[in-house]
Amino acid sequence: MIKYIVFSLFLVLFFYGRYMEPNTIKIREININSDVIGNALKNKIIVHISDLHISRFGKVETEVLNIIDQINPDLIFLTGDYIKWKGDTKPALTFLSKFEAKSGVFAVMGDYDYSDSKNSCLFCHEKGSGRPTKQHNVHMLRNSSQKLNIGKQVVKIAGMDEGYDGLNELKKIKDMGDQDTLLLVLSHSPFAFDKFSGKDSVLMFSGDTHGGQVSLPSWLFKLLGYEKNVKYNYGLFQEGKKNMYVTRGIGTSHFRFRLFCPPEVAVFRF
Amino acid sequence: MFFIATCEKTNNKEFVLFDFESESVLDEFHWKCHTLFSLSDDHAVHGEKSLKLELFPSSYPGLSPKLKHHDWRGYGSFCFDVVNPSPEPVSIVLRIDDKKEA
Repeated sequence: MIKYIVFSLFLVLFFYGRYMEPNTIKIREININSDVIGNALKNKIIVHISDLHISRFGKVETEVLNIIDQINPDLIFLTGDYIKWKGDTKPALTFLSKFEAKSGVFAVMGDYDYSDSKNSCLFCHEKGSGRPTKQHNVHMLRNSSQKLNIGKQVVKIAGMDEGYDGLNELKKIKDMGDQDTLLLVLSHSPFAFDKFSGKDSVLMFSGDTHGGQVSLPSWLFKLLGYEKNVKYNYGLFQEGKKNMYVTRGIGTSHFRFRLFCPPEVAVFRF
Repeated sequence: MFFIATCEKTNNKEFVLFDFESESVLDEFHWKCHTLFSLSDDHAVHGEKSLKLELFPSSYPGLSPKLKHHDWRGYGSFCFDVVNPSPEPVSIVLRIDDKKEA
């Protein structure tokens, strides 16, 4: 009898995790207590999404766009892994083309986006050309930074792409941080958080972990070898004046399954 | 960065290699990752357009033209105008590949 109950429970959980939870988009509102951040982004709304892993433009993608449309944010931040491993870029580029925000849409690329070296260029270039792509209006920050006008405020924003560790630009980005001026950083990998000092007012947006896709204790992630999930699985991390939000992301990699770790659109209201 | 390139002959005649006045000139450059180029209305010193280069960190991001002429005998100098709109300095490297037997 107990065997049947356990088996049934397993079936229910499997069905739920395979077919229901990956399609259930949650909206998560995040509050950050910081005078510097609050003053720089006063009355602004930021939406952060990541790890879409799009193979086709479907119901999930449409719902994400509807959610963002209703929120009507000032800024949209995307932190990489838009496609499946060596997957087709077309659905992802179509998805990116739908984004609009008053002060801009900014993004970095993830390791999956570089999995096919020929097609990865399509995120920035027209096919076979040095011309910028016309397929979307997303600003790809590739280990680069710029100043951003948000209303009357000027905020610095930087994107840390793959291979940032060996670059001189990492030092330049780190030097942009100071105690009194906000630096927004987009990074696919949450380990980039360790590169910044706790004395600097940094607000980092990151993904990559998917929140584990299945809610597990950190010791089990460690046993499975998922170091990033051990240290920065999901949520808001604060150290001194630096803050990082790691989102659970939208999509799934390897196997389409989420259990007690639903996809999310993260919303920051200041 | 913004760009225009010319060559100057020894009798002070100028041969304009690229003035970036039409989109088709962008097809005369080899493209590679981490470099984006497009036409711009800003900083034109010859005609109405200049070339806008967006360079992202990588090994030697830049431009490599598909030149139709390869014999530059009789030309005294190669000139180009470049504008860096950023407050930070940018290093430029000009590389000319020359045939040994030339």
